[in-house]
Amino acid sequence: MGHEQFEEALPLYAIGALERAERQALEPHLLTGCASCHAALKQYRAVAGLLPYGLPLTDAPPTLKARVMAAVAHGSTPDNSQATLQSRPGPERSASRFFWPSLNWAPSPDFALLLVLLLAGTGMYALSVKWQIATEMEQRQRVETTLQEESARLALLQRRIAEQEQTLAGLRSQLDQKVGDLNEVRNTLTHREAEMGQLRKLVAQQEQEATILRKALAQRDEISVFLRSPSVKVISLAGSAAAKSAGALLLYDPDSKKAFFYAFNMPPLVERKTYQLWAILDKPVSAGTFTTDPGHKSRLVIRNIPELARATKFAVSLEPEGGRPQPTGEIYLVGQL
Amino acid sequence: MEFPPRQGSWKIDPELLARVATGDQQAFAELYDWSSSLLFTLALRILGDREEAAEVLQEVYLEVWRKVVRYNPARGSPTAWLVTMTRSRALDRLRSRAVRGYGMTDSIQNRPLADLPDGNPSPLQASADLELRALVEKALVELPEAQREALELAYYQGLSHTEIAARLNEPLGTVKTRIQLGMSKLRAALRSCLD
Repeated sequence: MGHEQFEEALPLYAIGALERAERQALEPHLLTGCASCHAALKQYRAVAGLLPYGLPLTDAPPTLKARVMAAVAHGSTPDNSQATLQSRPGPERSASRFFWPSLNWAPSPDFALLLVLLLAGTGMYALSVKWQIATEMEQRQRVETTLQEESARLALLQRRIAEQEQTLAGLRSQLDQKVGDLNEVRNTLTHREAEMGQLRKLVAQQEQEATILRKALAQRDEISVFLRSPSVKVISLAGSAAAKSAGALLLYDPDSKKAFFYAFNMPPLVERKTYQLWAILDKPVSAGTFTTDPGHKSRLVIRNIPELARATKFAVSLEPEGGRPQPTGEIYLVGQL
Repeated sequence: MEFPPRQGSWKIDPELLARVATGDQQAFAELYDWSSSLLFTLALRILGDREEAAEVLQEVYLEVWRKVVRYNPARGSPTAWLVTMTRSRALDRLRSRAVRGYGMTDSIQNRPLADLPDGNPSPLQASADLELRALVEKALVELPEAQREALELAYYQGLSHTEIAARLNEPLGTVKTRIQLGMSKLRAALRSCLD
């Protein structure tokens, strides 16, 4: 039972309506000296004591006083022994609880011993209860203090966690921004690399073109030097029946032993065939092979062929790829010095 | 409301009991005069029988004479002590009568005609407690009937709340609440004469 339940039981206790078990539960609490319960109980008992005043008053029979006074007179002084009450049969309810042992009451030695033991027991019980209550209060205070401290610590930790979460959120947003920036840079870089690849390709193409142009320029320079030489001989070749519109020029410099051969309108070559130029003395000597350009132009530079200086007749025949030591195919061009 | 010492049964001076304790028969007679009507009324209300009530009263006064030293003023007024003792003895008798096979008396209306009051109460007690009676009667009349009934069953028939619930065929909690409320209201209404 808690204190509230004890308090609720007090009015029932005062009017005698509690069950025995309930009384037995309440009375030890009253023994602990609970001030508020004692104060309330005193008032409820006084209320109970006032109830008979609500009844229509009836005087006792007139003879009763005489009977009582006679009995008192015969029984002399008030009895200080417990004998009458002790031997009294029948149940005793609240009435005996209203009495308290009094100091001017002189008990028998045996009873005194019993009473002293009883009082000592009750006192020790009350003391132990008081001590227990004090200890429990102390423990409760300690627990409450600890609880407060722990609550404060918890609040501090919660605050720190909140701060760190905020910081973390800030860092995360910064990181997101950086990742965004990085992706942008990566995209830009990819674009730049693509551009650079294109540029590199362009440069390579232009270098290739430059090489071709340089080569062509070198050839032109060579030809222009060649044509300025006074000893250069020019031989014209005409197309045979196989290539009536075709023609060719052979420029030959005996000093440098170098020759340039230009052919035009040559029929396009079939696969695995080549044209071969012959210098004819007693018998034909190969001066080299050539193929046709898309514009049906052909060019051949001839070097270190001594027979050219003595040859008076030139011809071009169609030969298998790689050429032959002697002409085997049809003659396409013929010319004479 | 003021009750001067030794005026009216409610304000019997504890000093009177101290004199009784010394064997002062005059003081004892005075105590009887102040309290007998009230105590007889109470015993009669419980037992419904004048003879039995008178027997109980005689027992009570002899016990008072013998045990007066056991009265503790800290526990309540002399009247409260006498009322408690009378109620207890009367209820004991009521219970032993029930065991012997007599019917329990439910209310004052069941009393035989012969037991009805046989005259006006003594002017001394009647006048002294007039204001207090009026106050208590008013407080009781103002209680809801069910609460008053529960209080009367507990007080005048010595029934526990369980027995009252069984008697009235009401839930236990209801009966407990009625008693608590009734007592609480009476305590508030009678506050001026409780200390």
